Amino acid sequence: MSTWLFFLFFCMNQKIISTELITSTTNCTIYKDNLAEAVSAFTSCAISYAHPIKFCESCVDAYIEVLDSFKNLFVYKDKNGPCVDSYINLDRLQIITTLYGNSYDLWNRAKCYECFQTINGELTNKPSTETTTFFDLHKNWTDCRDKNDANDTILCSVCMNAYVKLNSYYLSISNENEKIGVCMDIVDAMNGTRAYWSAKCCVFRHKNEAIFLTSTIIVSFTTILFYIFTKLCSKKKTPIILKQTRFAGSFNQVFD
Amino acid sequence: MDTEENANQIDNEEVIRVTHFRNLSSMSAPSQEELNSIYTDDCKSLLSSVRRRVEISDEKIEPGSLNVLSAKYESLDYDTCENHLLLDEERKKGYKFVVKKNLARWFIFLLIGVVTALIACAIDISIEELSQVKYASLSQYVDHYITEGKLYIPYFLWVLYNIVPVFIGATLVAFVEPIAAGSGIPQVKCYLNGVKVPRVVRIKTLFVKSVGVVCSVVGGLAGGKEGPMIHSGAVVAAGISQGKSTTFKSDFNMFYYFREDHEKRDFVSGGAAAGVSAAFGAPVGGVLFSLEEGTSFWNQGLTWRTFFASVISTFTLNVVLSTYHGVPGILNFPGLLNLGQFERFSYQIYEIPIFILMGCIGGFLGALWNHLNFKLSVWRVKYIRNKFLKVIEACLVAALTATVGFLMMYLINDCKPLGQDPTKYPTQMYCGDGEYNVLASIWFQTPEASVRSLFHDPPNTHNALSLGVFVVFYYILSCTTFGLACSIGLFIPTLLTGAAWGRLLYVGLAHVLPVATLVHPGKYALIGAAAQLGGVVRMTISLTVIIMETTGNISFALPLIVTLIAAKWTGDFFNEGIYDTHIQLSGVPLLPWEPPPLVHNVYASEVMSHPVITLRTNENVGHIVELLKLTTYNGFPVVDPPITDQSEVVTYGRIRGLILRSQLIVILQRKLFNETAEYWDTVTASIFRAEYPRFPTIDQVHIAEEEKTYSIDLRPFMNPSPYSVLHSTSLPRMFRLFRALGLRHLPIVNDTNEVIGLVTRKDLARYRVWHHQGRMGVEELLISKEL
Repeated sequence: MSTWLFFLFFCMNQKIISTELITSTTNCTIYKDNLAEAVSAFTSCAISYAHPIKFCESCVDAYIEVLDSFKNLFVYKDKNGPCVDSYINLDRLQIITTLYGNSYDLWNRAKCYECFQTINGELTNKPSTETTTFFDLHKNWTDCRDKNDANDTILCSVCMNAYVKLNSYYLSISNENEKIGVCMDIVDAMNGTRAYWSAKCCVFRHKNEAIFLTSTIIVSFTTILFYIFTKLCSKKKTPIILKQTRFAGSFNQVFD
Repeated sequence: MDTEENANQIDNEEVIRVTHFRNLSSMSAPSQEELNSIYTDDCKSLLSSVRRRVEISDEKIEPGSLNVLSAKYESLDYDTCENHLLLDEERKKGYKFVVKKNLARWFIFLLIGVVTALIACAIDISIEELSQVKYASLSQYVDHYITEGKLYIPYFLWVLYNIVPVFIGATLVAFVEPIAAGSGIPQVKCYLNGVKVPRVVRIKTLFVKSVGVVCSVVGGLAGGKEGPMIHSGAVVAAGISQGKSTTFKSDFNMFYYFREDHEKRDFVSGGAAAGVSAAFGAPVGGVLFSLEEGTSFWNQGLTWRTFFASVISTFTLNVVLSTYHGVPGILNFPGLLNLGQFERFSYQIYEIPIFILMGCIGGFLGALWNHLNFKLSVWRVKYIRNKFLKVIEACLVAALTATVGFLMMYLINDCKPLGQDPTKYPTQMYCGDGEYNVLASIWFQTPEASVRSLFHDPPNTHNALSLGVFVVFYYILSCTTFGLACSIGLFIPTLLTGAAWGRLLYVGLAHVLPVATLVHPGKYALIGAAAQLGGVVRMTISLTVIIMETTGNISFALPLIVTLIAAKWTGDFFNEGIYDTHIQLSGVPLLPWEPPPLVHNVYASEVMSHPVITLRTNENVGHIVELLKLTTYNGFPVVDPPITDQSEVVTYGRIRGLILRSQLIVILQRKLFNETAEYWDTVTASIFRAEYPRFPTIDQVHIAEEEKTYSIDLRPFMNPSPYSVLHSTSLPRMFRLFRALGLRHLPIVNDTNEVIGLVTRKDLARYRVWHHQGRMGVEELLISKEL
């Protein structure tokens, strides 16, 4: 948490020096109020789309606003010096950094940046190609589902194609081995779809596995038979004890 | 035993009468006639005493009994032989040589650390790469064929994937180097204790061990690579310190001054420590392991160097593995077994009784495990001696492991949603889409990764049923696996079983107590793992420190110690640790830390081997050759010729020194006879080191008939001041002397300093303490040649 803040802070300072964007007439209060509004709009949006998760899609504009208004605090300065000095690193409460940090953190934990295109290192509200493709496939599936809602058997056979396409596309974009690599909107949509599909259609996974079960029994019995067989078939070796030579023993020899 | 019958038996076989012991009559210049008399009359008395030593009694024992020592094990020569040659050498080389030797010693310890770690890395990376291929494909095949109802295809594939590597590993072990079987810790323990275990530190053993452990772990057997790592470290140390390889017949002409048992054993203790350190990332644990297992001859300088080797080993491993994992320089991989860092790890005072209870459970389960494994090992000793059978057995167990695993994931449909926990190869089985089968995730990874997930996965990852079934079957599987003809250790499966029941206990506790008070299931998994391991291996200080270091949690020392003490005491109530059981099963004369209690009334005269074969200071060559051919002894007291040559009177010679078989053989080989003194090459102490460690046998030394009439002056070669004690010395006194100084032979003398007997390791080791269910006693062990 503090590391990225440091990093961000460092970047901003660099920018100030390089661009020399200083306006002497600015009033820092405006920028502070802007930030307050942006953060509250973003928070309100996030809570509204918490479940089912449409958070990334719906709140991207609000989030960009938060980023911009926070950046402005670093860019502008008034007669007291850079705006950032008036609000940040003054006390232990750190209200502005904490609340900004919360928004930043929420966005990144949801991996929302995966849903949108990043142009010149800046986040935009244009959906990435993966997102568009995924939601197209998702729409195919939901349409099919809504049409065949009545009968499970029909639904499972008719919509199988749509579902499999959606599922395999999802598998191709997410890296499930280590961690989920796609944004939370997609994960949630897929989880919902899978839960629905599993509940209705996964019963058909069970098949008769007679060969498998028989072979496991055969292997287990072979092992037990092996041990019995070894007992029956091997000759017993009985080690012979060496007689130890002791002082007392030598006397016995003497008095033979 | 009926002596009369034996005497008759001998009478029938040969014309040797049992007569009283005495030395051969002296011969300064023996004529041919007199020589004949050596082999006829006089030799009879010699032969008779020899014969009586190797006499075979009618008594037979069941194979697999614990109270028999094997005659084939010998001691290491830890004592320095201060003969004239050594004094000469010291005079010539001076202090400069001492400095050089000390520097070389440090350099070797550095090398030991680096090489051990590199071998550990090679093993680890091969296992990781191969398992990745294996489990990734298995996971895919299962999910592919399950929808077609052809589960038998992935099942047979799994069986095949298990059998093929295990077949390779088991064949190597059974046919190439049987000593490489198992974890190697018992063998290293014996070596550090001062027993020469044949072939244990050879390069061939290292090769079979390393390849074997990769094969066994990839083959999915319930075992780990940690034990074999310790053995590998020991072999590396023994190899590097000698500067030559007998197997490859190459001599680098380096470190020739370290070619003796004394130096080699010191290096091996460093190597074992480096092995522990590489296996667990626990340098302090490594040092303590060597200290605990080889504590008999220990010194401060060696501890310091051993610690150095351990730290170097874990550092090298860290550098290589972090590079392999793509983060060079970020040293996050101190050991092969990485249990991961625990975040919050506090404990409450009321949890301590729970820990003690868990220790007791671990001790009980461990004792049961040892008992089952002992029974199985006895079965193997009795019935599975054929090498082919051994390989078949290993393959069958590998197939059984796959069967048990597959049945478990087939029958128990424990599903969890993806993405909450780190799962490497999520397998769906009969779960819904987006879910994975918990048991499949445990089985489709190396056991080590499973331990890690049991320690770190969030609560509710595993449900009680799957854990319970897993514990029962894995317990049985690991018990079956240990003792197979495969190089595989027991640390990991034991930790895994313990972690699983520890977690199961947490699930139980969570029902009884409010959840908030139980911080993390990982804590109980850890305590369970420690208790189980403590119950099986019964190691004390080193195990505590190893677990503390692998989890990186020093503040958790108290719970760990309490648990391990409870586990050890509970386990000791029933039987001995698994390593000790296996050592006893193979009849190794191991000297414990302490002499048996209440044996101050046992005197040297009872303990010693009585008719002792002695040599005179000036001895006939033919006599020595015959003696070496007839006996298997390694040390011969050198005595003054007895005052009388009368056969009827029992006489003993006054002790002058002690000479070893290896020295005699080198003397014979180099033909250092009195009569040929003008042809001798320069005789230095290094001629004895040149043949080390594999001296030729007496049959390989050619002695011409004429040379048998020559004589040898043993005085410059023998140890002129061997430790010797009076016949009235008590057993504990001899025991302490023997163990503390690492002796091999202890001549027993009478009041007039005449040798009347010889005490060796087996004479002392045959007095053994037994404990069972709170009772104890001392038993006297038998000795057998064929064990």
